[in-house]
Amino acid sequence: MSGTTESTSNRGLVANSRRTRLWSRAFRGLTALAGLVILGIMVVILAALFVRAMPAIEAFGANFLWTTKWNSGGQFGAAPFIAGTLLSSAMALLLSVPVSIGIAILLTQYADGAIREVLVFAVELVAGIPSVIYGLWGLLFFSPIVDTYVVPAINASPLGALPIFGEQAYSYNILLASLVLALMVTPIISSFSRESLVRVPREQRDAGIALGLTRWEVITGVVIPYARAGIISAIILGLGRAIGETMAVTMLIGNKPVLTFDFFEPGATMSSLLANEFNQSSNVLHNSALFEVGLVLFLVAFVVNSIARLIIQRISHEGSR
Amino acid sequence: MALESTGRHRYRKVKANVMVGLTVVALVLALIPLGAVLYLIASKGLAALSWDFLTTLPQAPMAGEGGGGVRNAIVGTVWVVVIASGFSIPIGVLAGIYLNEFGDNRLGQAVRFTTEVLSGLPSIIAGVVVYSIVVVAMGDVTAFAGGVALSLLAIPWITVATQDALDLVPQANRDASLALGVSRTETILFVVLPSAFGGVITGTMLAVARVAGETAPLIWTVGFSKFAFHGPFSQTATLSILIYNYATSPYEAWHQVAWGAAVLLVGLILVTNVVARTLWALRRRKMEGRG
Repeated sequence: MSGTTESTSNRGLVANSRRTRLWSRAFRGLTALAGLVILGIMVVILAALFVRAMPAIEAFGANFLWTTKWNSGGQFGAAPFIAGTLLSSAMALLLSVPVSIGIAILLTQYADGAIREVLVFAVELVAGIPSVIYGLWGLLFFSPIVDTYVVPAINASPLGALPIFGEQAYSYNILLASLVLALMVTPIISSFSRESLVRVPREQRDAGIALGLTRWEVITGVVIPYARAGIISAIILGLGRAIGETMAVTMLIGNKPVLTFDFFEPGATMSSLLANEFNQSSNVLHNSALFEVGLVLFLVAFVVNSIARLIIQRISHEGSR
Repeated sequence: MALESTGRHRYRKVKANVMVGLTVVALVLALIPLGAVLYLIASKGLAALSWDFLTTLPQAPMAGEGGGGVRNAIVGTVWVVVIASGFSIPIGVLAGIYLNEFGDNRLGQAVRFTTEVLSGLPSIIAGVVVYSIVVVAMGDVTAFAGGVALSLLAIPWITVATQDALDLVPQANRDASLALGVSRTETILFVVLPSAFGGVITGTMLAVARVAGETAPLIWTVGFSKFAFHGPFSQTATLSILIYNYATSPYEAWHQVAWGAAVLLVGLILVTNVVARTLWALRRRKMEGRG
């Protein structure tokens, strides 16, 4: 090879590497831009909610959170919806958590082979069914069943004496919404719990069995304590889902903006209020109050999800140690 | 001594068996209603399906011959989902690449945190925010605004899925490529991305399927329409809103239409899920086989 061709190819390489570097920087910039878009989305969401909520924040201050009058005499208080969200989510978790953890234990500790794979697959598929479908099912199929069987059964049992179950049962009520919510969060809680139960090392279980514990004692004494943080975060993630859940609740809860602690009464949640009333009013204060409910909902979901993420982060840190 | 402990031992064994039984009961308790959901959608939905159902427009329940078809809602759903994908796939995939390959800094931390917060965003909030900006600016509800609202939900999901998929690529692959003098960008584009491709596709398909069933973000952004699809910048019917509106109506004929729309929507989502997860399982098996 002669000297000239070598130097040309060198020059070509230099130009090539400069071009490559430019490309590299452009590509990196492009990906960073996508990251910035995500930050921008967050800023826009917070700003839109906050700016639109301002008139209501100025008019009612902190009273907004615990007053119960909604759209009467120019007064707006979010207490009925905050209570509705908390009540329906709490009841859903109460029903769903034992069932979900039972399923997770069954799938990780007992079932094996093809049965387990099929069930895991089924649980994940069911988690993909949209919430409006649960609403449709709850409305047209499940609601009459609750009316004819569940409500009389509760009334006949000692539970019926509890103050949370009143006399008159309406077809659409907080109980119906909670039952369907429980059904919806069960696949989520059980699949996240399963993931943390799977991570318990085989040796831990074997050690328990070697000590002469029964399989159940190994589960309660060894496996669950080991996976405790993961199970708790699974429950909190389920809570976050229940709090933000809109369609099924809107279709089933009755949408009555009144504070009640009676599960046989119709109620409303923050998200069902937004699904129902948003955009329906030309009253500035009414509109603004709806945005403030959205802001409260956003913040509650944010806090709940952050707690779950923090726990998960701590687990993965411990895992890497 | 063995004799003394028999009673206690038997109690422990019985308890262990009873508790296993209870976990089976838990599974059955969950499977019966969930099975009932699927069964009703299949039986009532398939009964409502017909060629006319897919190709005609909704009609008033008073007409005496059923509630009509859902052609406009099928077309509308496709449009809204395509618009949402157009926004969310590029942004989500690029942001996922950023987080995994360049994100070891302040900006990366901020984006990671924000992505996690947004992936738990209550879906109705996406609708409310997009209403207050896009719908107010355009003066009307549109398929476009609905697509934007859905993309707010899908972007963080796709970002997380992409990052997870890239994270699975062994560092050794990157090092080998860099040691050969290949630039960082080319390493990402030609070494990292191809081996993470299956994971990215699976995650994206799952996110798009999930978004296709979302209803709450569309109530105030897309609205509903009884007429044929009229372009992305006008009010549009979608399957999910149709199910919501018709299920809550008092007309039996419209309930039938809602069941029919439900089987289409759930079928679409389940098929996408099965395909995505099967692809993923096959790929993982292949990779494990190699390792």
